[in-house]
Amino acid sequence: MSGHRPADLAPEERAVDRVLAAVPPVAPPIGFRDAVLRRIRAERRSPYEWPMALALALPSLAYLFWAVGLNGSDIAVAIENVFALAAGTEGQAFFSVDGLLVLAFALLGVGALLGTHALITPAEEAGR
Amino acid sequence: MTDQEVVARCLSGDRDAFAILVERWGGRVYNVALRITADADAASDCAQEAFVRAYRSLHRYDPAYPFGPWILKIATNASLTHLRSWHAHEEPMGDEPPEHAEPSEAGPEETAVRREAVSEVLAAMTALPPAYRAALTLRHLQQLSYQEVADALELPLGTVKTHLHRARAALRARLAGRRKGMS
Repeated sequence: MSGHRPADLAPEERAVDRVLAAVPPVAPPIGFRDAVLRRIRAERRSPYEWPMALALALPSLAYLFWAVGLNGSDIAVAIENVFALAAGTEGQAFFSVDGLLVLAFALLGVGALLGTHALITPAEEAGR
Repeated sequence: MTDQEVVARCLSGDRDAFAILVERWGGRVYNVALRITADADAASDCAQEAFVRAYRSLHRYDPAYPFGPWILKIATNASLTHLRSWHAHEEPMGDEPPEHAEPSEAGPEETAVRREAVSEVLAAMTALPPAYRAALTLRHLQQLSYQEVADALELPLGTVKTHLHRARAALRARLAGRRKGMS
C-alpha cells in the first residue's frame, strides 16, 4: 500500500479507479486525535478499577447478607430507633452499632463508587 | 520512525507512542469509515473505535506485515459492524460532497465542476450495498492490492475479485442512471 495506484490494477479497472481516485480525502473532525487518545487513556485506567471495586464490594456484600440473616431483627429495631430519634418522636432511643457492619457499608460504598467511575469514564470520555 | 518501531515502543511500555500512529493513520482510517458508513458522525465513532480496538490488539499485530492494511482492516470491520447494528438502519446522508475536504490548488470553476462530479460519485457509491462500498473504498480510494483487500474483508481472493467486479458494474450503472435522469 503506497498511496499510488495498486500494482495489480487491471485495464478494466482503470476507468472506475480514475473516477474514485478523484474523490478528495476528507480531514477528520477537529479534536479527533484527542478523542482517540482520551479513549485509550480510559482503556488503561479501567482494568484496575473493576477488580478493586469487586474486591471491596463482594466481601462486604457477603458479610452484610450474613449479618442481616443472623441479626436481621436487631438491625431492623436499631434502624427504627434511629429514625424515631431523627424524627423527634422519641427523646431517647437505644441502638447498638456493629463496627463491622459500618465498615462493610463503607467498603461497599467505596466499591460502588469505583465501579461507577469505571463504568461511566469510557462513555464520558468518548462522548467529548 | 517506522510504524513497526512505533508499535514496538508501545508494546515495550511507551503507551503514549500510540499518538504517533493516530496522527499518521487517522486521516485514512476516518476516510475508510466515512466512505463505508456515509455518515460523518458514525465515521468518527467507527474510526475512534478502530484505534481503540487496534490498541487492545497491538500484541497480535505481526510486524512482518505493513501496519496500514492492518489498521484499515480494523476500521472496515468497525464500520461494517456499525452498519449492521440496530441504530444504523436510518438512511445515511451520503449524497453530500465533502464539506471540509483537504485543500486543492484548482481554480473556483474547476473546483465547482469537480465538486459536482465527486458528489455524483459519492451518491452513486452510497446506494451500493455496504460490502461493495467497503471493497471499492479499500481498492480504489485507499489503493490496496487485491490480496490486501481480501485480508481486510476476510474473504477469499476470488470472492473479492467478484465483489469488486460487481461493485464497479453497479457503480457504473448507477452513475449512468443518474446522468440519464438529470438530462
